[in-house]
Amino acid sequence: MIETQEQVADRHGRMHHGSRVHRRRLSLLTLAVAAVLSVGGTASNLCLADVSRAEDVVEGEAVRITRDAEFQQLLDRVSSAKTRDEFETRVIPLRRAAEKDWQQFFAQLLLRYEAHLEADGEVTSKTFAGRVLAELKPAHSAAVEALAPQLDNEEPVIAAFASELLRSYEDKRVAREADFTGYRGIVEADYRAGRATRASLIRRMYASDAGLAMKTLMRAYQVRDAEELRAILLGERDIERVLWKRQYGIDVSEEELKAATDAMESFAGHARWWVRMYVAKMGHAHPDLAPAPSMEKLTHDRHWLVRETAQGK
Amino acid sequence: MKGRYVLPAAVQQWSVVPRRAWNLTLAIALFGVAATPTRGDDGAPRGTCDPVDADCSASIDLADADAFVSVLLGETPCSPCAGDANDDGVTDGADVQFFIDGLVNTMPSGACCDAVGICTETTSAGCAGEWLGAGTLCATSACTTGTLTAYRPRHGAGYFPFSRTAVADADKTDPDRGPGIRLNAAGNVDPAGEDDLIELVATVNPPGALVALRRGDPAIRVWLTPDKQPETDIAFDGDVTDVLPIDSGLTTLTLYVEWASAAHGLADLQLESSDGAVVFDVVTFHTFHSIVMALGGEGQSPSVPVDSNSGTFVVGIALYEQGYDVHMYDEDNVSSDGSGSVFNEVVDAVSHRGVDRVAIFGYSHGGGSTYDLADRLDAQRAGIGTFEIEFTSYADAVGNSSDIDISQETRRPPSTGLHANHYQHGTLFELFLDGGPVTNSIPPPTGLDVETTPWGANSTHYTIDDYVQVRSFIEANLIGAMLP
Repeated sequence: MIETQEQVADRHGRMHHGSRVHRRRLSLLTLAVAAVLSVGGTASNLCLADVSRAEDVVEGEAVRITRDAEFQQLLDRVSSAKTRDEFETRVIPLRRAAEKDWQQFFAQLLLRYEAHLEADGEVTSKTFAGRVLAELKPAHSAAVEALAPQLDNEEPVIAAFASELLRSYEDKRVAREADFTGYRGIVEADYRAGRATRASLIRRMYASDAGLAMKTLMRAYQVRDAEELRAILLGERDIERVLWKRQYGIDVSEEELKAATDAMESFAGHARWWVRMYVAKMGHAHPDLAPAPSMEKLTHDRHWLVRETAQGK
Repeated sequence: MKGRYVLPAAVQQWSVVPRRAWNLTLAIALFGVAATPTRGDDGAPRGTCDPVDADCSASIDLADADAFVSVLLGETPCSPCAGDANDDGVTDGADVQFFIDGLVNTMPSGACCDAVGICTETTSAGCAGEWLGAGTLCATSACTTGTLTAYRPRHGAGYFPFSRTAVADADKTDPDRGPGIRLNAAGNVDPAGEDDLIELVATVNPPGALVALRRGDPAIRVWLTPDKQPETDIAFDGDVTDVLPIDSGLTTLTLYVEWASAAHGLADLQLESSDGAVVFDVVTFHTFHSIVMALGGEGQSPSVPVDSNSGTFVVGIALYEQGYDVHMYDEDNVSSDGSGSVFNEVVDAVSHRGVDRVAIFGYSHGGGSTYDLADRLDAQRAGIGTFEIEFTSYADAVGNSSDIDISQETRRPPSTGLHANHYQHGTLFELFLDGGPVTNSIPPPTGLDVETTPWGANSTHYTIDDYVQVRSFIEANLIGAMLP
């Protein structure tokens, strides 16, 4: 599906409620080309209809946050509290405002961070944001939805801080994998609405955990074919088994290694770009699992993000 | 005393072991000397016979001392007068002093340099250092001196986040505080490039002096480049190098020492004269059995010179100077699942450098990262190797799931042998940032609330890591828990 320029502007306007979209990199052409390539690309064993829907990504337009005087005043009042009681009292109206519009709250929190960074220092600025969020306790999905677009903020400082905040919501630990439920919600909403998803979010997901990213997109894109689902899950398990064994110093059998490289090769030729993206990402970290010809082929992939990733950009 | 042979010049080249002549005195004193007749039974005179030439070799040297002792012990003398230095017709204890006087007075004198370059003129036998030859004079002879200066471990292409730090003279040969060195057997990863060689500077005087190195373990190899460029190794013949390539006009040579073995050891490397007669200096290398990871707080990055407000790094430097293999990081190099470059460094140390002891300490978010790192190391032991986390420490630890995490880190790092904990109570001033009690910590039972002490009563989250009491506690307990 190809959106008109107006539709894109409208979409981003809705995504960044209260923010003004600043067009720095017009991405319609990219979107159009990607969509055409996706439809016209050579699928392996999948029907083209499976990949023709808006399973696509777009280089997000730069986001600019417009200052909201009311929110900034509420944040200032909290930050100027002199006692704990005063702090807790002043958080109350901020919470009320935030609960009405989390998108705007996060946008203004990020803007304040940038504005006070030089004067207050990095530690104090981050601690203030952390303290406010700890008090307000926004819902996980609301926070991720509000923060994801800010990965494309025109101010690198804000984009980096948004990424850091998203990291906190991933909540990755030794004993468990990251939490991508918020990301899945965004991608699924885009898919259902026929929108392309911002590439910045996809990059973040694959950088954090390529296997989990692939499986998250598999669900978000509503794959229903049982055979296809099984093939992706089994292939990913074959690869992860080898990595897991290596992690714990357990010998990997030749059969297991072959299963993993076969899975990589199969994924590299998969019709879904986000499956090939997995190979493009993993191939750099584990080159022995990704056959060199496959990686080379991915550097010329029909999907721009796969191509870019395989090229190590 | 009778006249002696005039020794030809060629015979005056003495090859002696210093102090050997004086051992003679002791040897003689240890037995009761029985008189051994040295005149002929017919009482015939001995003519030009020299009693000091006790081995009848026609030269006076220390070999005569051995022969003299044999005569004293009852062996038949090789000449009618051999050993009868006081010319009383028998060789007994009364000849000892005369024999020694004769021996010393006959041996030629020359310049003698000791290990620190002080010159005296004495006989070869009397020289406790390098004897420059018969007839040489201190006034016209230059004594060679030499020193070795070893440095603390390198990081990457240089020393950052440490400054280039020489091992103190007093620590040079200390088995713990001396120069530490990482095992550098095959398979070591070195993601930042080869940095396991220890810089060693040989300084000599006069310029271009001829000196060599002697190693105490074949695992020691010496290079002219820090990253072992081809054809830059200094070859050993046995355990001694050839003369070091110090240019004639130069007084220093920078070398890089490698421990090229997977086996641990403790070994000397000494600088000596090219003939091995004088040892100028010695350093004792100990291989690292342990590794120390120091993690700063949010916004703290290691720097040179160190920021005095980064107490974690101040402690790290103190330990580095005391012979530990310390690595200092911004805590963001530990992700919330414990992975990252800090984890990789420990894994490499355990897997490839024979390290089996780990210490981790951190402040604020660095405390949270201490937990995350220890947790991952403990969880992945099967893939890493055998090691113990001997010591961990928190200073006002805050969880570090991200830069904005403000939760107290009060979990004891998994599997740590000894955990130190210091904390204070956050106020609005520091937006309530603080650590808290951690079960089974030192000081017991849960660590120290520094606000309960006279010195820490006014502490804040931003100052707690800087108290000397906190720093010293971490340093002392780490040293007590784990050798380098």
